[in-house]
Amino acid sequence: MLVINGKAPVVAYSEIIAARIVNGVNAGAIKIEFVDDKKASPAVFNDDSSEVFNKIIKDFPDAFSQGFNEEVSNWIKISREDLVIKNFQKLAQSLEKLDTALNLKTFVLGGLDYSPADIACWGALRSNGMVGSIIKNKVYVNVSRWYTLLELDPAFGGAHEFLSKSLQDLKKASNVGKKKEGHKA
Amino acid sequence: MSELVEKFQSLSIQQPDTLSREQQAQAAQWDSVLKTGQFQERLDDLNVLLRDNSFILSTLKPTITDVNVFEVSLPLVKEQVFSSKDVKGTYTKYRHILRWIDYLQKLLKVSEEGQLKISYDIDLPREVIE
Repeated sequence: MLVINGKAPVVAYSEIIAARIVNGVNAGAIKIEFVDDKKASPAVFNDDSSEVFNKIIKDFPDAFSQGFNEEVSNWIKISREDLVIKNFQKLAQSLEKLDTALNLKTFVLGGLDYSPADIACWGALRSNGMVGSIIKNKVYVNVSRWYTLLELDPAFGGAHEFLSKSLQDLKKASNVGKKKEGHKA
Repeated sequence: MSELVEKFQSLSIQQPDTLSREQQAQAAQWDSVLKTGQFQERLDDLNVLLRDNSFILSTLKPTITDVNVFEVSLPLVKEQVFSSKDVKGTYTKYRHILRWIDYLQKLLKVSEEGQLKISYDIDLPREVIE
């Protein structure tokens, strides 16, 4: 089971996307739940909040076109450390690196399909409020093209709607609970 | 039907159920470019299109339009890269076409000798849209 904190400072989009991809291949393989609590970990997978993304990839290697390797691991690190930051100048440097990596490549590691490196980077950028207008304005043309492509994939592009709808349901459910209690009293 | 089109169809890549008006217009435009043989003059346009879109019709996966245009582009661009005295300049100018050619030649398993060997380590300058 994967528990996502919808109110985390950096929402765990990569983990949501990875879990949705796994469930696309093997329906219901990962039960996804949500909490709405600023203090909770961004993501908890089977009661463990460390390296959740890596564990999902490693536990379901068949769902991803490239499994876990050193290059993937390197991009996960970059996405965690450099792509979620909101300092514009530092973020600009990181985006430039990603842009360079995407020269002559459709996906981050090349190849014909996205790998966990793409999921990690895309999810990190999706969680970063600074990024939307940078993508739209094609400041880094390769990044914009790559981001827009993956957004067409429902596992990526639908992640935000899935999150916000799940959080709404969570809120409704908790309100229903409150009303019932009130009724009893 | 060309061999490449046959290969593409045998891959059963999911095609969009419907194309938007823009996508239909784009497809019609490239069909007509291929028919009239005025392709060389459109390479710059193709490069800009593939700068902003991974595939010609802005789809998630390549379509038959990509395959048809690829078939004509591959020998032409290969020749340009071969005969160029300034390989880096040619790469810079057609970098997006090269990316897309590389994707399709791998997808369609073009033979080694038929492929355009891409040098990924050429240090291309960052592209800035004015």
